Amino acid sequence: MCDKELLIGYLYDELEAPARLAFEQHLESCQPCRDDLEDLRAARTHLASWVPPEADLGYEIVRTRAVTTPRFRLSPAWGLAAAAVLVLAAASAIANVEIRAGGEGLVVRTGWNRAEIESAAPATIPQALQVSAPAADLQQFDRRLRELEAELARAARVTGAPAGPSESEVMRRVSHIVLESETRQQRELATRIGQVVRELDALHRADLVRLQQSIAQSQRLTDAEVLQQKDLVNQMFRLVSTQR
Amino acid sequence: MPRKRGVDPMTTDEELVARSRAGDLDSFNQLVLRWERPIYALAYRVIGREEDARDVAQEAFLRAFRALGGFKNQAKFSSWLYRITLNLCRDWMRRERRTPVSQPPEGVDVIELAGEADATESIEDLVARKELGRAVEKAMAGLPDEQRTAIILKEYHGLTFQEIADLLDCPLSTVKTRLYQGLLVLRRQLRQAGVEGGFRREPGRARFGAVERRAES
Repeated sequence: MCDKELLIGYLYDELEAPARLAFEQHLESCQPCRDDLEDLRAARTHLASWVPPEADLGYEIVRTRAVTTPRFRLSPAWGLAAAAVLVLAAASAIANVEIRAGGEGLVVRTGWNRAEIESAAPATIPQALQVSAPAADLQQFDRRLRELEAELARAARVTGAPAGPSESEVMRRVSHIVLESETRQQRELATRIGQVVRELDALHRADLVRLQQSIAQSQRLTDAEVLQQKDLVNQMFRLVSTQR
Repeated sequence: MPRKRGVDPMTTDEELVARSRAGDLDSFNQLVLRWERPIYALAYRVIGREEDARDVAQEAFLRAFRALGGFKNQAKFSSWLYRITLNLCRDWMRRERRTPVSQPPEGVDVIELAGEADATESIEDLVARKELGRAVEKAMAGLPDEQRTAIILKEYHGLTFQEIADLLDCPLSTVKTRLYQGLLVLRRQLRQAGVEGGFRREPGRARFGAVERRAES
């Protein structure tokens, strides 16, 4: 039995010169070792064609700064300023409401600058979004004022003197009516904003779904075509190579 | 990106290790850049799955980075890295309770290959080589772990017998026996699978032995 360790050492050229020479002499007289060597070399040759799939690597060690960065702290003065801004923002939130639907999506803005908003409004706010007192509401407001007026006149006629509701009582009732109307309008506004947001959202979703569907459809189509053509070419290629 | 910055190729791994240990992250990333392909290739050939091999390679570098303080320059950096990678591969195989799986795609895609073909190799040769590669991958997956690992380290990473013995914690003679037996089994299996001949040289052009197809129906 020959020394297979020498054979492997010879195969990979890891023998010292004397050992190599000695083994070469042995090879000349040993057919089994020559056969082995041929097989081992063939195996090595085959191994050369096994290549791992290409992979996008690019690893990198990155140090995170979570520990080393000092925490950002507000000084008391900045804290006050921030609070002031916050209060201002809160105050302005109830003043006016502007809604824009444009390229950048839905924008709801609040602020005091009513005039500016109104001048910009007609061009940018879609019909459905224009906020105004609904006609029915105005009519109701009007009706209640007339009722109050009529009541006052009736009271004057009956007593013959202005002994009906006092002036302050009238003011109170009028302002109550006005307040009621405003509350209703605000509720209406909130409902409308909600409605519009929902509508736009639904619209966006529908658009997205349509977009995805059409992309998927065309993808399927092209995928299928590519696969078909690949199969065809592969078949042709195999046919050609088997007929040689 | 800092890591793309050129580093003198003459700078040894050990110098880069020393700088990394002194806190130079760029130097360590240079080592990563140098070794990511071999480490990924090692992991891929041992476990046979591309995605998992990428994960193993990434984890190997992370571990090496964390353990850099314990690296004592007794071994080459690459050997140390190989050891970490092989340990991770062994963990993977234990976890998955499986021998390496080779999942080469069904059939070789001629169109895909056309893009890889270069001027010195005809597409026909390229197809033959790819098919041979798949056959080799399959035959390798059938070998016992120890033989396969020894062959991979020797053939694709050029380690010496002694380096392999150190890495696998086994005697030198064992490494040689594993190589001898593994290669002969591989040769037999490939022959059975219809792979004949070896690398034939023709004037001016390289040709691989054709993959013989069994008589087709």
